[in-house]
Amino acid sequence: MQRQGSDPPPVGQELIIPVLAVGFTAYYFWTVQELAWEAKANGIVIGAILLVLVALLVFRLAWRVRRGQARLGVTLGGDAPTNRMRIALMAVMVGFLVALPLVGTSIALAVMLFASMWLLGERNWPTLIGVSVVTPLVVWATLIVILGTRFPLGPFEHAMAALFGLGPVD
Amino acid sequence: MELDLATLADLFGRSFSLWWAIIPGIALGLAVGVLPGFSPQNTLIILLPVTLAMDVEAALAFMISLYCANHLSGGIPAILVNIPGSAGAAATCLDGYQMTKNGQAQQALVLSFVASVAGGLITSFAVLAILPYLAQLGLILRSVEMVVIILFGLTLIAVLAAKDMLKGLIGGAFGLMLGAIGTDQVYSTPRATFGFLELYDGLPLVPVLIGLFAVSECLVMLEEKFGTASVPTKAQRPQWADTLDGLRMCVRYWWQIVWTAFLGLAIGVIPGAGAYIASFVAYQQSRLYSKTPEKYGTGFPPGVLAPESANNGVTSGTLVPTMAIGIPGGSTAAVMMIVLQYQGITLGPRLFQDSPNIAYGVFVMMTVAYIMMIPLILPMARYASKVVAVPVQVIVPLILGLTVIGAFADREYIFDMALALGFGVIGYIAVKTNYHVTSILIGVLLGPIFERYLLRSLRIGQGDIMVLFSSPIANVLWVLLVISVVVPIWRERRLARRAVA
Repeated sequence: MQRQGSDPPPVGQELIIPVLAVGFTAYYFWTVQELAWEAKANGIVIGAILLVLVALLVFRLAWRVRRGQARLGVTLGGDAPTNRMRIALMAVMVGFLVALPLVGTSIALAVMLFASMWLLGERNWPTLIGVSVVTPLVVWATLIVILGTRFPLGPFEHAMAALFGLGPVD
Repeated sequence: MELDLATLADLFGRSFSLWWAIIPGIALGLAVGVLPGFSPQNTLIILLPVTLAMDVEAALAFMISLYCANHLSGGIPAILVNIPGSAGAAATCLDGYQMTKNGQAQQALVLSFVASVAGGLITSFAVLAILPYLAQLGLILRSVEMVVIILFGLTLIAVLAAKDMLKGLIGGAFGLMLGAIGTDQVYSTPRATFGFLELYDGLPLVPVLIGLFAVSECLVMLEEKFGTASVPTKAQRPQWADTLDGLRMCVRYWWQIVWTAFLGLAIGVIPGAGAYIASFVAYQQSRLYSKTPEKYGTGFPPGVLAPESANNGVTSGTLVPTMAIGIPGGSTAAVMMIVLQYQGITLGPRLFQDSPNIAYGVFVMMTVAYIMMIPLILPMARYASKVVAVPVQVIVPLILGLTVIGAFADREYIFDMALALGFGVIGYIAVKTNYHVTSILIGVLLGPIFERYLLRSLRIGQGDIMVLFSSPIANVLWVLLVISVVVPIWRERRLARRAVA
């Protein structure tokens, strides 16, 4: 039993993964309803097991809430500033993906590294410049020029190809 | 052709003389292996113009060194930052990263290096001794047996879920469901692809791996810097004494290295069975037969030795069916086949008569590559462990940038980078709510191949499920599987009863 005076811990967060799993399973069932049995047998059996497991979990959590050992709140444990930092970092990463086809790998990576380090509190200029310049140069030299991986190209890669003949042209 | 000592000595001499191809292969393999997304087969495909232009023996030496080094270095990021460099190193995270958290990063790296090299050496020698017989294994083990072998890997979900069985099983089942995305194995009709053409081939493993481990770990790492209730990783000042301590642990648990290497070899011989199956099965079996199973997952040396030794045992095994019956044991072996066929060498049983220097030479080169790795990698343990001392505000952007780029490199879709971020969020939520991300990953990895072999078996048996119990080898494996599921449960209960008493 929970001690008198202290709030029981929230358990809603424990349902996030099950909700995602059940949602996906429902979508899977919907997409395979017309298919031959071989195409859906495996997924349906696993999906059915998953639904039973989630039902058991919901029952367990409901039992704990009913007995006052838990409450229906949602938390992932982090404090507000750290959570804001996480969301901002993911926003920088999404920006990186959007910018990648527009400005090319090297410039997008350099900006992403600089922005992320700045966001996380790095204020040492040699580190900021060094990491955000050297890393994209290494990526460009090894992965684009030497290994020939077809990363999105931008002004930097095109300039290097035109000036020194290094790397792909398009 | 029988392999006599004079031929063997000659092959060793020739292989050592190819050091100029082996050392760059090792260096490239180590560099590429630490980055998730850069698989050895992709690197070899990119380097095809180089290898096709080389002399056949030099090309083989280069490719094999790269392949072996790649398998070895996947464990480095798994240990240091909880991010496996390849799927085969995912099981290494379980105890390797815990050792780093306990201030034993250097020891964990030494364990990983020694287990990898020893596993590779033991199995290369074993293959040289029994190659013609071993090749038969690939023919004996069919879809039915593969179903049971994959189930061995899946039982690790239950082992990981020991602390909260229900959540662990939900994670595993969620992973298996995600593994069912893509076109089906029989009619190629799309299932649960959300309309994305990029998902028709199934959920790409590299972005999932990167998301679940790398991106989620970065989000967790922020708590070290900004959080209030965090327990930072214990810093370790690199010193040779720790390297020696790691070597001492290897000697203490030498038997773990030996038997899991053979397990990896046996699984590697089966065409299509990857290093990740071997490492998960090895970890699960190592825990099963341990006298102290409760120590697994807390930074226990055998938890690093078993998966690393097994996943390097696979390297020798994969090449057995390639050389002996002309069926590539894996995608890297398939690339090697292309190079050999381009050079006019036909793989299969006749290879041992026509080109014994190639047939046996491959395994001698592998042995030499592993021997040459020892002086290169052991000092690396001391310096690589310094990675954990890099400040969070620098290491997090670097990991995010390089791994998300790695997500692109595998299939060259920006979609895969977005997928990695999406799985990063799922992985973070899973970590924070105690759903084991490894359980989800095991499901995603093993789900599609389980379905493939199950359907193939059912087709052979004309829909009769009893086909799964139709072969003596499969039946023996079923019995072993039941034992490996029942024994841990029985042992946990006995320990719990003892604790209560």
